[in-house]
Amino acid sequence: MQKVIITTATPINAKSLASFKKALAQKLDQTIELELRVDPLVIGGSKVRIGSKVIDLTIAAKLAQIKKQLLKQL
Amino acid sequence: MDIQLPQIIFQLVNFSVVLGALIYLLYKPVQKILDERAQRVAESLTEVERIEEESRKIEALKAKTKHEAEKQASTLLETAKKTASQRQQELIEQTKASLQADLKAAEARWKEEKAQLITDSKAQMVSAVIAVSQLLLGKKLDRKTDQKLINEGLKEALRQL
Repeated sequence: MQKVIITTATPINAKSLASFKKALAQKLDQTIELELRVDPLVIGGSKVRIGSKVIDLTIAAKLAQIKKQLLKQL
Repeated sequence: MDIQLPQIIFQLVNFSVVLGALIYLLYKPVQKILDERAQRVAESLTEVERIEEESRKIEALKAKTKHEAEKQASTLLETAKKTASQRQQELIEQTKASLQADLKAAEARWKEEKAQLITDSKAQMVSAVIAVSQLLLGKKLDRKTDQKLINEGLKEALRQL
């Protein structure tokens, strides 16, 4: 069983969640245990953590990346 | 008036004896004393001349020594003035160099601080812009758009796994 944590600013609709769980289970060939977290600080988008791997596609992460790039250019 | 020859002879002899006694007993000692005195006076005069000569020599030496001392003092004074002037010039140059170095360092520090201040200001501005962006996006983002973003994110996550 593979535990997957998904963080979003607003709750994910059930249809999208089911579709994702199914696709992920097929890809990993494992049973998936989803943990859903709602955090308004991510603003929008989603952050998926699978084991030690994190795929952060939230607006907060993108803004942080933009900020880092801007500060680097100073 | 008759001339008594024996009486005259007697008187002459008597006078000669007295004269001889005077010469022998008085004139010669007095003469000797006078000669000795004249000798001493002459010696004293010689001594006085010698002393005067010595005195002139001493005065001349004194004057020469004084002149040389004044000359040496003048030379020393000139040397001292020259040395003091050179030292003063050196100190002025050193002070100028030190002040210029301090000024240069201060300018460098000021430029560095100015650059750091500008960088800090820009960083604060970036942080402010990001913070405002976060706030605006958080308020403007509707649920439908967020769901679209979530779906795209999940698809991308699947693609990356």
